Amino acid sequence: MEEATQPVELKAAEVDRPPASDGAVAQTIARRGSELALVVAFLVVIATVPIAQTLMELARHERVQFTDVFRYRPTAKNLRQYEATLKEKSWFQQKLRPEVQRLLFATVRDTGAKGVLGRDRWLFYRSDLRYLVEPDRPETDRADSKWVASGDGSTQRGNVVRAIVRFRDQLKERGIALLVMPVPGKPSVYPDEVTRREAGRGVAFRSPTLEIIQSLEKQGVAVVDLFAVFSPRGSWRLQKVRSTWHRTRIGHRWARVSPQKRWPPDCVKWGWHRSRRRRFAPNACRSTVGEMCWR
Amino acid sequence: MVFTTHIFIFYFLPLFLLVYFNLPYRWRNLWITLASYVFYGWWQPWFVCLMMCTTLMDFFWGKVITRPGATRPQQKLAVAACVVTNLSFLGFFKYYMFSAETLNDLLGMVGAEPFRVLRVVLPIGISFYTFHSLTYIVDLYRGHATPARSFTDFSAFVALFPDLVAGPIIRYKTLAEQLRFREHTVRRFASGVAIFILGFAKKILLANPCGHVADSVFNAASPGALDAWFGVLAYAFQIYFDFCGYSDMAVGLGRMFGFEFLKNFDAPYRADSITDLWRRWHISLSSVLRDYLYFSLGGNRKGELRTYFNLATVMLLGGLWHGAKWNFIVWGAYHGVLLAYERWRGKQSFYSTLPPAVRVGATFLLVLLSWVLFRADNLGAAMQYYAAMFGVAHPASTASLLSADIYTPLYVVVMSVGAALVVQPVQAHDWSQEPQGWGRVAFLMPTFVFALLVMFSQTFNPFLYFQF
Repeated sequence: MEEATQPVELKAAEVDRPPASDGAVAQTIARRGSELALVVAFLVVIATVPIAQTLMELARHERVQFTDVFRYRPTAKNLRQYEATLKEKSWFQQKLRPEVQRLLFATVRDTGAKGVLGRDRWLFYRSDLRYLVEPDRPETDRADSKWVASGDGSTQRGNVVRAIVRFRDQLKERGIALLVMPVPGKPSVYPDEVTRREAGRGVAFRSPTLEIIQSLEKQGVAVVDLFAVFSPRGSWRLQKVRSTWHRTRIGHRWARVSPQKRWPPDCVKWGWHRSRRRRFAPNACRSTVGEMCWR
Repeated sequence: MVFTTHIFIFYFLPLFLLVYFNLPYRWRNLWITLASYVFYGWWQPWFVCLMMCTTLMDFFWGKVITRPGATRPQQKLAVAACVVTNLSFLGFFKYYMFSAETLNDLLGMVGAEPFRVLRVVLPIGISFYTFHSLTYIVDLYRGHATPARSFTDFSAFVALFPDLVAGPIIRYKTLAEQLRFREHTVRRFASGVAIFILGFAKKILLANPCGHVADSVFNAASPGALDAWFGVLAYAFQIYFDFCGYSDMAVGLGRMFGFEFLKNFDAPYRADSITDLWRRWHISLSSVLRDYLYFSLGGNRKGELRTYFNLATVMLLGGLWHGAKWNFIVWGAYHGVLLAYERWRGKQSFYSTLPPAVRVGATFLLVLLSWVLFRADNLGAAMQYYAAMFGVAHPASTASLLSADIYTPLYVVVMSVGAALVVQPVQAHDWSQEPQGWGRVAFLMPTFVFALLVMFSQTFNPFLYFQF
């Protein structure tokens, strides 16, 4: 009986498994084809960049960049440098990055790591914006020092004031006068062009640089306050897209009076001499002082 | 080296694959080891010496434990010696500065003179490879694994570059068989490529932009309430896409050369309780903590109170494992207390009677609150951030400028896509194991090329979990 039943069971098992139809076979072949295509496409993409780069460098009779790894001692610093150079000198990187940035700006208004797009297509440096938004941080010790220094409570902005005062004193000993002119970032002067929220707030906006200026003035350092000059009612206006400035018509008269009122006599004299000796370029800070003092 | 860099994608990976598939089978583990040392030493070459030293030592202790005729006390002694040495290395590099600075703070409180603290550089990934080694030793001791066939196999397991610096944490017993024999097929390679591309896209297209938003808000002096919530939401997406993306890439690379790693994430933001969350988030760490720490402490076999204590302790140590800072300890304690509370309620959350969508939302809210602790620089900063979130702190006069930085069309699009992806159930790990048809090829390759193009325009952005 057992001998008779066993073949029947086997037969049943075979019947249970569906025979591979032509469609299933074709599907399997198509899948294999697509999987192979995925693998090949992936390998082609990752291999094209180094091979093309090497061929280009050879064709231009240049040193093959990636072999530089064997030319220097493998220290962390050298390896970072090698990696950065390899990336920056890549033909693909150089050619494609601007195009991608253009595409991202056109589609999602992305201005990259360095820029921020304000209202009405005003452009701002992200670092200028973060300077205003982020707190004054405690001064940290150098990361490469052997020992961790305990914090003495000093802050980065406080240290800026201390360093300038020290520098002023050192120059004074040599008979040189120091004039400090902190150039405000665009968002400090035109916060309402950064965001609609700021424009509608109506609350007094105060840049941390004004506090630095006040601290310096308290310690007797000659400081030029460009906030007044660049303000919407001032004689100069920072440009919408670039980080340069131009003179406005409305502020001419104000500009002639205001700087001489605020600045110490030495400063005005210094500025006058500078402007007499050199021709000034309107975009350079130094010349701007000269021009404004002369007027 | 980082997976999402020019040098890894275009130089290291093609060269690695080219050599690997042209070597005879018996040399492949050695090649994996050598390539992994280059990969790891890329940050700081001397880190490799440290890893080689611990690998050699753990291999030796493994031999002692499995030596024929070794008695149980001898084995126990060897395990203890190995655990103590490994944890001493980890403790020194990861916790020395924290302990010394805490001690200095205490000395300062009683008016004593603080002592000088040596600056110790944390070797990247030390927590991960220390855990890899420890699982080997404990598994040998428990009889759950057989000793490594050779030093090459063991060093390939410890140094295996896909999971070396940010996990997933892989146990020796999972890989033991694969180190002896691996199957290399087009299908497996293709599934590796698929999951690698998905992970790469998660990191470049989602995690990095979310990271920009989170950094801007968390670094702000005093953000407004809306900005603070948006910032922590961005961080929740960043850490998920960053870490899940890394795990996907690790799994993908492993599959390309024949390894199969376990799933590390399973739609964690769809969890409807904290207990459920820890079954879905960083599964490899949760299971290691459960099997090697929770069970060692007695698990739930020593009474109810002891169970709660064990749960809280495991999570506290889990928090400390993430970093040597008080906020990580509080983060661990927060999760430990919530887990113990849910255990007390029979593994039910206090909102378990609510509809499923509300439960998921409530869990996500609890997780968001915990991410503040995880992201903030210190406990004080975390408290300030909570104050900003709940409108207790007055925003700085310049706080409104933040909106120009974070509510850009790019970030709004990325956050929306991120929100849609975290609530959908299909996971890259499962999806990539299915056959890759032409439709998938048509989706994956343009995604990869687009992500590469975006990578060209991005500045360097390391993975979050490297610091752990």
